[in-house]
Amino acid sequence: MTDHSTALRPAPATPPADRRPDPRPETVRVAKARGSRAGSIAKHTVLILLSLVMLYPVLWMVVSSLRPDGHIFDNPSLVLNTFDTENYTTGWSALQRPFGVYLANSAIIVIGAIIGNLVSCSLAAYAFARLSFRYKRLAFGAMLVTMMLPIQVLIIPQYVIYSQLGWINTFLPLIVPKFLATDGFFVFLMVQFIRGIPRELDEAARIDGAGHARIFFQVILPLMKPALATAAIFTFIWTWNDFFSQLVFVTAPDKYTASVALRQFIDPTGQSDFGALFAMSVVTLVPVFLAFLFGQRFLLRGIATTGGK
Amino acid sequence: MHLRSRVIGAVAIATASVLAVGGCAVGNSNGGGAELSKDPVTISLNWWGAGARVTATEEAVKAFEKEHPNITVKTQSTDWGSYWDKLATTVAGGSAPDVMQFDQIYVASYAQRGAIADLGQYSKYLDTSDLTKNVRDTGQYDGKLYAVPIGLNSIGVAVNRTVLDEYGIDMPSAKGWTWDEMNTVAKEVTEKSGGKVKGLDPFGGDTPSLTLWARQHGGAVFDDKGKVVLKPSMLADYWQYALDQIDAGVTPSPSQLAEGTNAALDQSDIATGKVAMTFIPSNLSAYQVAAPSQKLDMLPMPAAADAKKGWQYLKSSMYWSISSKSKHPAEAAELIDFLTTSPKVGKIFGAERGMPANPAFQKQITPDLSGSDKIVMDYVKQVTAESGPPAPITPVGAQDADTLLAQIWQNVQFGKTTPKAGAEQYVTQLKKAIQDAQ
Amino acid sequence: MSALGELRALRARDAQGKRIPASRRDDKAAAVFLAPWLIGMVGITLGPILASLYLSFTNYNLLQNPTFTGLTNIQRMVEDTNLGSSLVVTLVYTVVSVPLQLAAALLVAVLLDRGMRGLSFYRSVLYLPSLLGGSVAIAVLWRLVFGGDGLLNALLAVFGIQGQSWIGSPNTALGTLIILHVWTFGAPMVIFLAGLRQIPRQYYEAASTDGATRWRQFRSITLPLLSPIVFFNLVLGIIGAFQSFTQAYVISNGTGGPTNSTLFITLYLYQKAFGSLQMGYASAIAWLLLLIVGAATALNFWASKYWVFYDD
Repeated sequence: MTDHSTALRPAPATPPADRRPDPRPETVRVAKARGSRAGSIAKHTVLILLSLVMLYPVLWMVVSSLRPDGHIFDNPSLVLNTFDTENYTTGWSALQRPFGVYLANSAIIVIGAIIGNLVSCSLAAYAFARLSFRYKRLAFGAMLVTMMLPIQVLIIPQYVIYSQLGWINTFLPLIVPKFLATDGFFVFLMVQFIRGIPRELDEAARIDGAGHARIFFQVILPLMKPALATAAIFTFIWTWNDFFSQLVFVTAPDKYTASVALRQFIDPTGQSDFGALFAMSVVTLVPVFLAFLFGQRFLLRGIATTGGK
Repeated sequence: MHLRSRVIGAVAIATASVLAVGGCAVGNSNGGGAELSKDPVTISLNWWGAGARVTATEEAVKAFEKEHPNITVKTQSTDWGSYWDKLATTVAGGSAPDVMQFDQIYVASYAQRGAIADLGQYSKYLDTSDLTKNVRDTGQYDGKLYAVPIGLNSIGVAVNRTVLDEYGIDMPSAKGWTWDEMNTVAKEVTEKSGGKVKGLDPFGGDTPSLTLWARQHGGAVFDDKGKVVLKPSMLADYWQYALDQIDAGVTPSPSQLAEGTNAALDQSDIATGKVAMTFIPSNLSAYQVAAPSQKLDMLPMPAAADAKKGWQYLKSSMYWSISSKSKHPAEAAELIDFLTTSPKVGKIFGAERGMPANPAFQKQITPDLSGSDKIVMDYVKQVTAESGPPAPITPVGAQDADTLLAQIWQNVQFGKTTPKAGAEQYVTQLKKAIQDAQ
Repeated sequence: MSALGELRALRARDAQGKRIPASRRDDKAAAVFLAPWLIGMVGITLGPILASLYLSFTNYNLLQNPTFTGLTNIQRMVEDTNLGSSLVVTLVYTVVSVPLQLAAALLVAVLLDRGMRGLSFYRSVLYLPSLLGGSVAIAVLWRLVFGGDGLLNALLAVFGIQGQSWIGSPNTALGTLIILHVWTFGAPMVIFLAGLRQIPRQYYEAASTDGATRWRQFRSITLPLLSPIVFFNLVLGIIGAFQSFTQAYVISNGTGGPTNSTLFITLYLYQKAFGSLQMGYASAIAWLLLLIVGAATALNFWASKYWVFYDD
């Protein structure tokens, strides 16, 4: 064991299975229990307050979107005494196109991105996890390194390439890279997952005469559903929220995505309407929230597994 | 084949293609298609500005399509900020619109780089003879016309009459006033309202107002050879005046001003009643629409009694240009001709893009003007009468002149540099930027 | 590898009957499975990186061909005070917001970790902001929360405190961005929770019967055992912070102001590339960013041997 810390190391001589009875007298134990109940109440209070503070801005935005514009900044409270949906109708048609157009644009890109990621990353992950090939370590290392590359280093030449291909102002620069496994994070996630699938299953299929293709499609892929779900949900959220690449690559206003369109609300030509802005922000955040509700399990587990070893 | 050499080969191809890409840039104006086609043609038209401008432009476009049934015009508009971000990149990508709205900041730069077309080639379709020479010349670079002026404006001061009346303050004469008088009004407003309403939003970050200031003191910012001739001391005085106002408390605080940069019109300090006066490029109508409950009026820039005569000038508020890579330049020229000379358009556009540059349009709309449009027209007429020769348009390499000015001005406001040091810095950096662009 | 697999490796031969070493056995299959990845790697990542390296030594305004200018851009970077400011701003932001966020995440994770009731509720609620935090909607909201007439000042007014324009003031504008980052502590918190769960309960029990206080337990058991995860979060957090763009762009309205106080290096890069059309110079700045991120990561890895404790 390599010990680099000066931590208090638990004495290995005490076997974990050794359960000694709690030697403390009864009164102390009860007192501790009662104390811990008070402690628990305190803890819950702190957590509830914390949750409230954390969510306050978002809740305020939602509540304000249901108040008439013009009264928004007078009122910092979360009390919902009006339920005025006018902001939603105004905001929907406030920009050059109905906001639904921008939402649809985002949706197209997101769906393309999800399919692309699922297909290309699972293929690449299978190769890294199950195949032996020359330069495997180099390739894997390169993939890890790309996870750390700032997109700004790539964006200018990418822009030049895409403009020569005539892809600027289409959704292609946002979707095609997903079909080319450029999201190293998901490749990594899936590799870790595949490593957890017993190789015996592969071997069993191979004995039946399956080549790698069949093993991949019939053995691995079906077992990868949780990883695929995680990748799909993360892709959804990240792409839906993405701003920078959408800002750079999609230049025509009627092709704007929701993120880019939202920013228009605070730009200085003409009227600004904070009620409408809030309403459309809420609309834009709802899909993320829904993805979160339905995909919580996968999100939380996905983060946890890549965060661990 | 060995994986390694395959990889190297692929990298080489990718790199080479990217580099080759760099070599395939814009630059050749083909001049082809300089005749009107009989076949159906689609051209695109871009502008910045939302709301009323969108409706007006689309109406004008429909009128054009009626007169030219084989030409379809695709329209697209965006906000000022994104417009320039995107224009360069669409030009480079070969997907530039055929007809583009342009601003004097960029005319020279784009012309020099061959991105917009020399309009003289299309004089068969595009007639600019209605414009006065002074006005038309503002669209020239290197002796050739690259952009047709659409509207005229001049930096003036929007004044909130309602507020002044409320506190019983005398409105200064619309004929002209001095810098001292401006300070007096500002102080009165601030005091009489108990600080609720501040006197004004100071100038400091835009080259048009700086140009007027410089001309009042016998100088200029640029000369017509594209060089910087601004004296740092003049800029320092310009900033000092505004700084004195800030220090006197007759303006919002620098933080408030910073937060309000790029605010939408109806969030602007004058529309929300936070200040009584502000410098605007004479687009009073837009502000009036944004502040319907207030009555806004327009005054010229103040000037000292001994200001150099002819310091006023009319700036072209915007232009139309044709992309040098347009596949249908003849049709594009037709469209511009229609938009700048057809009486139908004169009526539709009105004063929305500034006072029309075309005197015929001006005559056409004057009788029907009312409210803030009339105020602006009278103002522009007054300015015209007092104008000297127009200031040169922003030279090549100086397109960041406004951003740079605003940035250093902010440093001055927050006390991070003095007006004198900041002015030296500005002039040096601006000169360098122009030099680097040669 | 299973026995069967070993056997197969021994027997693999290529077309000429030569034995293919185990490490190359699947070369052909790999080429197929990795084809999309390879194309992406070369065309979208590697090619552009090399191209941007080349562009760093040129003047390129997108409207004309790039012209080679040698080291001019580098010299310009050295003299560029705006670049200097942006480096300082980005560094301050990273050095302050990342540890703060991780500390908040760790603290709350420890608070939550005891199989308490409502754990999954709190975990979800506190995680939600990190999902929303990267979006434009939240950035815009933040502008309106910390503005002169914003939510925060309205709340302060209830207590009779007069607020200022937090986003308009050079001293506090960056602070609003830092707060935004700390607000998203939910994601690292979840990772810490998972990590905490892996620490055997017995260690704590043993320590507490030995009389160690909660704080001592935290310092001596939790922290060391969690250190690989802290390290992981630190590395990713720092890389992410250096690349921050959206929030600064929206909150400062693209200006990086006031007085460059929110001019993240990515924002400066964007201004130079797409605003001033100085793509060559912007590429040079991008490479500088890349080198800085690389150096920071390397530094992290080097320093890790002094405080990260691996349980293997």
